[in-house]
Amino acid sequence: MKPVAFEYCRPDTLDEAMELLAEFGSDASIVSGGLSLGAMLNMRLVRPKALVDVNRIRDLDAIRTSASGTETGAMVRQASALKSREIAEAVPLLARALPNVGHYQTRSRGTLGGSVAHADPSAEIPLSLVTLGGSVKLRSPKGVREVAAREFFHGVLTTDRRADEMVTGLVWPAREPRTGYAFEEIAQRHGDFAIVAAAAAVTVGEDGNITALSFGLGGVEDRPFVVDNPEFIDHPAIAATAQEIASAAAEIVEPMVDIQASADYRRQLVRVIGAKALMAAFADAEAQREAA
Amino acid sequence: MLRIKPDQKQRISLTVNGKAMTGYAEPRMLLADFLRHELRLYGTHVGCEHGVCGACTAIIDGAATRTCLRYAVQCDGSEIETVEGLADADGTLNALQKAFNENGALQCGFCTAGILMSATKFLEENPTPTRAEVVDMLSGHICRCTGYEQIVRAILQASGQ
Amino acid sequence: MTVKTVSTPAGQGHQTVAAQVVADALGLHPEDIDVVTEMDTLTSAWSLASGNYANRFSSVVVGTIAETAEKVAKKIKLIAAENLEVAPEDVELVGGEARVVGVPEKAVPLRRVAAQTHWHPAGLPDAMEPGLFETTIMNPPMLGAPDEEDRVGSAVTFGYVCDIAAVEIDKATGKVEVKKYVSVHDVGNVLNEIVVEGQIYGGFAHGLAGALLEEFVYDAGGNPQAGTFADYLCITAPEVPEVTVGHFNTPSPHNSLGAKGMGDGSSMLAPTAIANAAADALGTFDIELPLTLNKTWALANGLPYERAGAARAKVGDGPQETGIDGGLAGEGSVELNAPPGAVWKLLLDPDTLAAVVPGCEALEQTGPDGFRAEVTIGVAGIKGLYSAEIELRDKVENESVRLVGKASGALGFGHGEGRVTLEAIESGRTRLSYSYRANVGGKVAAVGQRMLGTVTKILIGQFFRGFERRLKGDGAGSSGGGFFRRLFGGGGS
Repeated sequence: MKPVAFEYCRPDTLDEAMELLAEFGSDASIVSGGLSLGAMLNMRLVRPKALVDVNRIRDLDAIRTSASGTETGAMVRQASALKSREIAEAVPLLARALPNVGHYQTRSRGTLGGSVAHADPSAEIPLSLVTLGGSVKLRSPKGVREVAAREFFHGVLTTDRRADEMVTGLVWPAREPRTGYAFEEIAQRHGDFAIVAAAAAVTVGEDGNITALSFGLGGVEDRPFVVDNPEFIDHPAIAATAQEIASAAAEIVEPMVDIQASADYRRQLVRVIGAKALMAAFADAEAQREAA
Repeated sequence: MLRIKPDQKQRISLTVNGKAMTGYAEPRMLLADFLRHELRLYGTHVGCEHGVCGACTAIIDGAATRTCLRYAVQCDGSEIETVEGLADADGTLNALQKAFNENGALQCGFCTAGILMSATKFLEENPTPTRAEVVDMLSGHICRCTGYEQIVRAILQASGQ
Repeated sequence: MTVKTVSTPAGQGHQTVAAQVVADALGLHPEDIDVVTEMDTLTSAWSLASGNYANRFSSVVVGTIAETAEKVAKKIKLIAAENLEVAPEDVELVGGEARVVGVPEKAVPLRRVAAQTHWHPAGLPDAMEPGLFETTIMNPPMLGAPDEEDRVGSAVTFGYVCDIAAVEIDKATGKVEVKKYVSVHDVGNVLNEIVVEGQIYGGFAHGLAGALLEEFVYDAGGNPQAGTFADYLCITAPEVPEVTVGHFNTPSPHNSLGAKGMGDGSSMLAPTAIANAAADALGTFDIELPLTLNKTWALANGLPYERAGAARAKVGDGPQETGIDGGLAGEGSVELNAPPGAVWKLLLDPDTLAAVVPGCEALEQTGPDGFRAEVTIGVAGIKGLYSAEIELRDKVENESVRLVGKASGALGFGHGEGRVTLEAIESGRTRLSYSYRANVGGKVAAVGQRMLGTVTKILIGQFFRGFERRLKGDGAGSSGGGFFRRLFGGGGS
């Protein structure tokens, strides 16, 4: 199908974008990569009065790492992030998630900010941001706002972004020492939306026990989230613990049901893929320890 | 700031396969449709219009990506490479096309243009890919006829391996 | 030299092979042959081979082309023989000429022979037709006359393929991995290796897709759930394993080229081979394709598999199950700072409803127990205007009511019912419990299924937030902690 007729607006600056958002509010759709929005527009699921194309706004595609972490502009292309040595070094979880995002032909145009604003429940970039406890920077005609990732995603395609706001950047916390990061997902075909995705950031002490754990799940419920599981601190970072953490999570999740997976099958995948991610994170933490 | 009203036909000037071209488009006109119906370049195909099948893939400003998810109005001043630009002016197939021909890498041809453009960009970025890398790149294309084997061989052959 | 054939290929290489066959018969180069593939019954003779189906081309059509080319060759040789003053058996067609066998300098170019048939038909051998134009209608010996019930057997070929599949199933995830796949074909004489290979690989991939991936799914309301390529899973390159192809070719006795039909190939066998291998692995023949991850996992672990909301095609007699089934359902409760009487009064008040129903543009009472409303629902940019009609039934004052309603708009339509129950709790407060079931149809049901849960959650949340504000206006404190958790909890799907 073809989209409805809309006004095309292409601001050159953030201020101009803000003017447009003030004018159109929820009647505007913001397009960056267009890989997700474009499909919805073509299917006429979304029928905006105005399409605001932010691709020409400068300085929204920077990657800046400092002691506190890395900030990626909303317009950083997924392919650029995938190739970036800085990201590989500073945000390894994202680097490990990115090969799973879409396909070669979509990553060249899709953006980090766009994926976060779109908020598909199984999307890898939101899951990575939530797992690391990062945040989303937003701007509106009224000013700027930074929202913790764990509060940003509300439901399927639904976020805390207000109608007159635009995602301008993502903040990724600095990597921690002695911490391993891993990303695993399972889909029916390579590159498909994940049925279940698991991300893990695990800090392991000198004694081989977990000192910090962030176990995130995507594609399970209607938004990515980190499992609340403080009871595993001080447990040994071994296979048995990985199984326990994943199984405990499988018990408490309330999985979505769709044509790909029943609730029980999603729980099973939480167990299997979750444990896989945790094991890989443990191994990565060990590798970090040896390298130090 | 550029603003184009919904029913306004905007003049779009861009470079296609090295040649300056112009056409007119309302905001909602997909680049794929603009290439085909305004510029009469029918080599780029429209399969699904939701970015999955890959038949519409072309190279836009140096990136192989979906033309069904781009609007012509976004491409004023852009450089586009389509399948029409692969062969010589006299019709001599380029190395990639020859490899496709020799390996039977196309049957009905509907997916072919998109795959050729993906492969063209891919080989520029990765001149000696492994078979696994070629297969991974191809995951963004659906082909009904070939079962992909001969396509993979053709791309590897074109890469000189 | 033009060949016109009634097959209408879609990339199977008919033009290539036809040109080859004609070139071989006439001593020409395939590039010299123009092949026209079209089927227009206004201008072409029709035959059972018209179009392209059931592996007709290499089994029947190409043999017919060969026969026709032979007729042309024979005519050319007769004319050339007279010109060269030799017997027709002593003429051969090579390199675009008709030559005397063993005396290559004694030759006449084909184009002269062809020209002669047009420009000088009187000079042709006795009783020979002018022009150089031959037609053959296929005549496969295996076709018979229609029987008494007016049926015809139209198959002119069978597949001669043997496939062996070895699969490994991961019990933990249900993933089916094809460890090895061997496919041996008897295609008779091979007309073009690359074309044959392409058909074999393509057929295999297609069959494998049917075995593992492709499925049309409908929910209980008949809405298609796999209506995009993101949901209907065609096979892509990473999912196609290497297949070891073998050939065991015995020439066909039914045409001069000895070629058999071979296009369908493993598309016929791969589903069965995979299913049988899976049956062997799983120890059960109760296999239904495609063996998707979830289904295979359930099978491998002896668990029941029922895809949510899936419709079953009913074949045969018996009533079809109808009614509200599958689709949306949910329940929850809120605690409100007012006694049941006050809540009841406000709940059924049209002005209150108009103010608190999210996106309500207009609401009017159509009778003592009915409402009509225009509602704009917009979540995640997916916005639409809906006309809704609601009826209140089974009213028990201050206690419970059932709502039955339907809505329709550009993005879809739905019907459903809900139940609201009020219960007095401590300190003059009320627990309002609700449950609902709904069927949704149209575009939003086909491509927006996953959204519906979020949308309902948000709308219900908005409704009760607004309702609570109205209640507060009646003079009570705030509703206390855990309000949102209670709203969003309780088994939504």
